[in-house]
Amino acid sequence: MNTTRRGFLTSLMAGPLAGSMSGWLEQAGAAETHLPSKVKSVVLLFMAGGPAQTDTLDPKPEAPDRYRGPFGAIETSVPGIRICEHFPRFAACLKHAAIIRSLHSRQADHILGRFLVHTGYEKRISPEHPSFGAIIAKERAKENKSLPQFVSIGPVGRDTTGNYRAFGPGFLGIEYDPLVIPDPSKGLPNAQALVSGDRFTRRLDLLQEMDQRLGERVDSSASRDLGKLRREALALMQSEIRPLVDLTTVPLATLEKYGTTDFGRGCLLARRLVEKEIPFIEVGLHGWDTHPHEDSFARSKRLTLESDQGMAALIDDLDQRGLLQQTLIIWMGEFGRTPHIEGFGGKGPGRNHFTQAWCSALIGGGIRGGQVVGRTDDKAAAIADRTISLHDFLATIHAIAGVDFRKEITDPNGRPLRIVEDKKAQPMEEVVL
Amino acid sequence: MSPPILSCTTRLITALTVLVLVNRASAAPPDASTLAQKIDEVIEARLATAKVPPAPQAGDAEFLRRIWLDLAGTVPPYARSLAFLQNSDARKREALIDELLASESFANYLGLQWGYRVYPPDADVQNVEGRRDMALGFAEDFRAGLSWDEMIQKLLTASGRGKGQGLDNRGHRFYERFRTPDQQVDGVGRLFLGLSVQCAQCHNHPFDPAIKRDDYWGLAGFFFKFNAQNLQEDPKQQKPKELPTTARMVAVKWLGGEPLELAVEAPRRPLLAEWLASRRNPYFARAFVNRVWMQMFGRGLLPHPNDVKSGEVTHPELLQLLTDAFTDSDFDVRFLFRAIALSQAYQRLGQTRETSARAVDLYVSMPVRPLTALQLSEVLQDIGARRKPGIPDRVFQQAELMREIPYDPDALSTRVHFGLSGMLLMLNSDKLNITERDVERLIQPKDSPAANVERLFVTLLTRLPTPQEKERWVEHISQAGTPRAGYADVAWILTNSTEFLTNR
Repeated sequence: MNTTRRGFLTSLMAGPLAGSMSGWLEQAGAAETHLPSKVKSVVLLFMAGGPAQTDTLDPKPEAPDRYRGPFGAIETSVPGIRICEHFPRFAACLKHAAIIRSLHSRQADHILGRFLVHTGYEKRISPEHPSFGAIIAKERAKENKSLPQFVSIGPVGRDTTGNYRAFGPGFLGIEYDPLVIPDPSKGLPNAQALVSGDRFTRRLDLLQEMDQRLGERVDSSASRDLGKLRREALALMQSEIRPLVDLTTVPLATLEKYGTTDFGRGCLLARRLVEKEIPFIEVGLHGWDTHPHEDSFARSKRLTLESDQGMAALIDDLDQRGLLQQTLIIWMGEFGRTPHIEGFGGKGPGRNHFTQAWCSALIGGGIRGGQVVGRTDDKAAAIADRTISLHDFLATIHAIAGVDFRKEITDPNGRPLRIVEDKKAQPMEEVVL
Repeated sequence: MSPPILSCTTRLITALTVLVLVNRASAAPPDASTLAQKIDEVIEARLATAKVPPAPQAGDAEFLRRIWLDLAGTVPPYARSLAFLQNSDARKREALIDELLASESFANYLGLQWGYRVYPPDADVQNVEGRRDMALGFAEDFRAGLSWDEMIQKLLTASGRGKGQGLDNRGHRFYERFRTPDQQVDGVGRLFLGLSVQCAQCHNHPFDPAIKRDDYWGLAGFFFKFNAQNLQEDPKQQKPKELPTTARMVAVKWLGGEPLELAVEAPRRPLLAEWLASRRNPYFARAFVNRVWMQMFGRGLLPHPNDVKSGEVTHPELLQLLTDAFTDSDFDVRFLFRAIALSQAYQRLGQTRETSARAVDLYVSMPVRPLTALQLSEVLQDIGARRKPGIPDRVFQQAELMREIPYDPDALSTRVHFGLSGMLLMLNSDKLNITERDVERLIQPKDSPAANVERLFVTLLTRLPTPQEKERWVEHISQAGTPRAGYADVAWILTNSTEFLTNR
């Protein structure tokens, strides 16, 4: 009999067994699509560009200059865990967080890397894999939903080609597309009618009449879909999502708590959406791609402070409202940055892409906080202990969110695809409650 | 590969074959009407077996809007609509088809579609300029009436980088999009063979036994000496620097062919192009035929343009008929479109309440298709515009619309492809909708409201209003704050109606 914790849990994951240690494990062998989980919302804080592990959550204050970088490390509220000095507020929240320092992947291209971390698959022409956000939103969608179940805030979804569907539903179809709020200070885009109330109502009545007359002659799936979409759009215009994402009446003090930046506002929006139990929300923070350049480290510091403030405000507000235990917050980018600093005497110091060892954080519900998973060497150049693949990481997220990550979904060509590709993927048992 | 020694008999046969081919090439071009009749024979035979009568022919207005959207990607301008609707010539439909096929709009619409196929809106490389150049290059060739095989052979063997935009740059852009041999095989497979081959990179294709892993890498081998940066082949290069870990060095060969023994100096791409874009390759003509059918009917003769599960083909004899005819026409693009447009199957009444889904599958009537994002963009740009901007401007403007309303030229066009953001954009965007200022361009202020209502209907819906509709809208305008506001209401309603948003 396996007496070690790891062994016991591993054997449980292989099939149903009596007397498991947590609710979701009990269901692991069942055919249910939706596994019980306390977590109702997942918030992905996406650090686009790839934050440097050394300059964020895996500092190496004793390393030589060439590796350490200009930032110091600070103690956190958990003894023994230190993070970058530019995370002062997050440092105080560490009991709610599990920091993973041993993420490992192989895709160093931004667009391909972002696709990989959002879907767990290499980007191909077809099939277009769904992001884990779309999957979670679909699997955990509420029965009689009046609000969109998947919201994407800020420029995260918009990569350099302006496309946001890259992190969307892929072959799951457009009905699982996220509601995109490109600019949190402007609320829901195109939600304001072109003409005033009465005149708009009149227009709608006449439009309805016209469609009805056509509908007497023609009935097709296309016309039905268009009608349905229009009704949903009109409902959205009048639904509570509009005021929910409208920040114009928020007191200045609240805005300042989160930081009066796009990201800060995005985090505040995320809190409001969590209050409505929306299953998946993504908030993007761009600019982490700090290659050698005169302002690389200045930018890295600014972004760290921005994300520190937004994140900590979100954690604190959720905690105060008793919502933290039902929310999983993920902080991550598409990869890390080189442990050694380049560009001295040339463009200015900076770090390039690095996929061998990088970090992320899981915060909030469904996890065992106050810990670090994995360890890198003294320069953050290689993993010294507990390599976590992206598949393991995604399996962990799905497990916490109550989604059966070994389930197969079928693509339009009839091909069955696992939610997490690697059959050997394991959720991190030291993290999952 | 050194040619085998030919026997006397073989040489004679070869000479005779060449003679036949030469004769065939200089024989009279195949007749589109004849092919149209054959299309109808096949379809009507199936309808007879199913004991389902075909729907009657579509009326003029319905046909007019449909043929413009399907061949030119847009709706006819007011004057041309009126002229067609008022024309009593029995052959006006044939004349219109010919006019459209000879037009810039036809070539540009096809060019744009191919631009989007090579550089989809969510491509992972810089795309809008690339898309523009691909579109311009294809449009130029379609306009010049090049045959499809000529176009693709030219594209695949492009060498040297052109300056500036357009035709010169097309080859460069193609290989910018498909930089490594696996990308080139995936791209070529999807675009010109109608095959999704990329699974065969790692293992034998699960659905198509013809595509094994060695087939995939055998095809990729044609690109192994090719440098996508300078578009040159280097005989000394064994393989390119960038290759995926799944790559295999196998004998170079065509799909389903024997391994080729190639001289070291022999350029490989011309060999590939010559096999690929030819009648020796069964996939080439079929893939194009399928896409053209899909452009006209909203769904292909194969369930999906990249499909390999041929078990689900509804009219296999039709696919074969068209593939053979297209091949025999020496891959004449206009011929293929003309034959389909002339068929009765294409000109049938649009789907009505009584038409079941099964009947639509049998081509009883035309299915209802939402306008694609490309068509929507073209239509909205054209309505009331005095001058149509060129491809480069249109491609850039379309990029913004397509963020909310995605566009995939190979997506099943009987389904709606946009979501809530797209619908909100359509309802409320001041850039897309006809505002009070815009509507002035669509009406004649000196004319009566009745005349202007007619004008708006013809411009926006390509038909005349019924007497009841005319009365209704004239009443609305008289009750509106100002006539201009009334007309703007009408324009908004018409362009947000299901009728406007669909192609029947």
